[in-house]
Amino acid sequence: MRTFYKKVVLFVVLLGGLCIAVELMSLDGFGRSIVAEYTGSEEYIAENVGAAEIMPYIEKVRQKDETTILILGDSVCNQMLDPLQPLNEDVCIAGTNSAISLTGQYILAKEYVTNHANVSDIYLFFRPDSLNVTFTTTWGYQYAVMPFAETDTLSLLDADTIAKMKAVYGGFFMKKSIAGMIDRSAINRKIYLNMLNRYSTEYTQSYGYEIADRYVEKIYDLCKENGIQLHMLSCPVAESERNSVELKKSAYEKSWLYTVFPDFLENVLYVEDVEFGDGVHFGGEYATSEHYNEKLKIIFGDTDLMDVLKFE
Amino acid sequence: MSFYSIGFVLFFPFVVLVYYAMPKKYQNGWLLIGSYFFYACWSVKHTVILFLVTMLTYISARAMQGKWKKLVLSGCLIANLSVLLFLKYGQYGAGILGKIFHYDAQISIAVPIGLSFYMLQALGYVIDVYRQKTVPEKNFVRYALFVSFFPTILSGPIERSTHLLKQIQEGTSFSYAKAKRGLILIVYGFFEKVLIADRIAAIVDYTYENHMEYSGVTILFVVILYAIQIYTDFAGYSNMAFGIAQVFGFEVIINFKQPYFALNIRDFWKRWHISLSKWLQDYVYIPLGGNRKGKVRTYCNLMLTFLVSGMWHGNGFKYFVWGGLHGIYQVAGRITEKSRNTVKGKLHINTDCWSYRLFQRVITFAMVDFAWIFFSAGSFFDAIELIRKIFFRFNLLGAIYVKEYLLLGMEESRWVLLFLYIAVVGIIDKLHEEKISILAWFEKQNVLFRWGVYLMGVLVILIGTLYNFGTESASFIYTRF
Repeated sequence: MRTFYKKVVLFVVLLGGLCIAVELMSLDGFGRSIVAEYTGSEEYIAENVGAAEIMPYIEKVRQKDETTILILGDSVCNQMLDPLQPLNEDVCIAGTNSAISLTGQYILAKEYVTNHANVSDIYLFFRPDSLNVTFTTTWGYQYAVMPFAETDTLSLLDADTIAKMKAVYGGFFMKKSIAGMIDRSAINRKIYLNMLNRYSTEYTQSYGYEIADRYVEKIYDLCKENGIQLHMLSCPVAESERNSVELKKSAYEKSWLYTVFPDFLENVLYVEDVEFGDGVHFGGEYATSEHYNEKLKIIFGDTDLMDVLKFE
Repeated sequence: MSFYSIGFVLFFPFVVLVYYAMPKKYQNGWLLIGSYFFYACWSVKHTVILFLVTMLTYISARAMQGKWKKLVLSGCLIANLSVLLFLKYGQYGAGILGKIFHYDAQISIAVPIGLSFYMLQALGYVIDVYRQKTVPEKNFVRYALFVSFFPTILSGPIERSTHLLKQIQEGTSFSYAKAKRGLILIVYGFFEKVLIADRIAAIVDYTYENHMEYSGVTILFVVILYAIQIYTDFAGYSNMAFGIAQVFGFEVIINFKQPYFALNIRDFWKRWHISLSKWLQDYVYIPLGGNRKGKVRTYCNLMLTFLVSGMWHGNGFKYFVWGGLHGIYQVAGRITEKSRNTVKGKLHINTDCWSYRLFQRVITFAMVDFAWIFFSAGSFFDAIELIRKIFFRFNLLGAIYVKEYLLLGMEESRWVLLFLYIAVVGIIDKLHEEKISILAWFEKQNVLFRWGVYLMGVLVILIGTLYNFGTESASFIYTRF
């Protein structure tokens, strides 16, 4: 029996070695795509999603330059304002994705303020829904954790938030090296993200604006300490969503956000449904810079940003 | 807990290690605890049903003394079969009654996993005691282990008291050869399940759901694939069950003997799901009179046995048709046997050659596969629709022209791999058919070669498992019964 056990142990050790070799192959170089193909996980590295999408913006806000205004926001903000970046060297446009949650937006703001001396304004430009984003088991890890873990910026969040994130994603997977391994390897992503989706549950906020309240307040305090003006405006929303936005108002009025930005939901610009390709982002003939600019001029009309922002 | 879950990877070695570490007199108790834990991982509620069935059959067998014997047996059979019928057909029956009497029959009954298997096993034991083939087991732990033995509880093989219970009574001790063979069989079972059955399952499910988009030739191709899927799925499970039992030193009944090499339908049922065929033969067909009461009665008995087999598999009309078809095949085979032999004699057909055997195998496979259409389709009417397409919208050239097989959701390179894996199983079955032991040949090879093959084999299966991971991989088909 002892011989049998010894052989089994030896076999498991050798197999473990082979698995480690495959794991290392899956991280870089030529082996990365081969392992991805044979494990049916190509789609996990095929698109520019998650950390690959967000990390350039972390680099961007960290870059020491002459900009004095920061614009943060979700994917609609990104769609409408990103084309203006080449024309506006004085403004740092970092509209990303709502999935990074308000924790991610806070980290971007904090990094920007740390690396820029004369910041005058920070603009938060979101759809109303983006303020309710929590730590999900679908996109949450790839957006709210992975890029920030890899850039060592998760530590900027408070201990309580980190604990809540750990409860959803597992502390081990929030370490820099592990997040990096998951990011680089398609099969690691496939295993971890599927396990997360299957066995974990998203964080349930005590009220709809729990995370937003905490982290917009942190951004607010950061601005106050540094003499920066903070603005929060809503991205355009489809006319068909008017009712759901109206329904949000009572909860919003009870949140901390309301005390500072009481008009946020009042000033939402409603647009015909036909202008949106997927109900959220502009699509088809409406997905043009000219059209975005027209809407931006209406939304930012009363702000100082209009004096700074160049559209042509 | 499925055989290929992470939980099982931890559970199995732990149970084995403790099993061999403890004194022999406690081994059965430990294995019983492990078996109940394994079953409770599926459903704690259903574990109670397992326990009650075990208790009832145990007490009935012990009580089967003297003149009350028949009464006890009848009571035990009625009680157990009522439970089986209610749990398995209650929801279906209520639905039918609801349709007839126009009322809303919204009852939901979750059928306990493995119920059909362990129920037959327990009833077989009680009947064996009645027939005095087996002495009633006094030790409840041993008997409970016989009913709930975790390698076989979900999908068989349906064990016999004269086989497994006897081994439990005698106890087992570690055998290096058995343990090694067991592990190899587990790996081979995984190979069949993960790399073949699960891959085909995705294709079959997708095609059946969207059959309107495909030509008859593609449907036929998928129907043939289904025959391979159900074989590799169930044989894969049976190999794993056999292998796991072997690691503990037990031998369980071999459930498959290269079924698609069968020369006729009678031969097929001697090779497919052998433990069920044998059970039905011993406890249904023979008690009905078997072939001892004239031709007509034999045909009726055959039909009845196969209809019971169909109903055992599921509660839909399609299973009834599937069983009925096999019954018709058997009856028709017997009725025409004489005239077929006469024709063969008059035409001087050489039946003792390779080509004739191939012809027989193709015909048998076609008949079995035709019946699988009813088994695999969503309903009887879906099966009719699939058959209609195969016969009336074949469209071979059109399917080739548009490369319809590529529209089944798998890339060309994946098809090559799938056929390679199927070929491996085909070759192994062929060698077994020729009574060539691959393991014996393998044992003679150099240790580096053997270990290299083992390691690469397990690695390929692991990669295959990862390939299926995250998709709705098919569960073992037979655990649904």
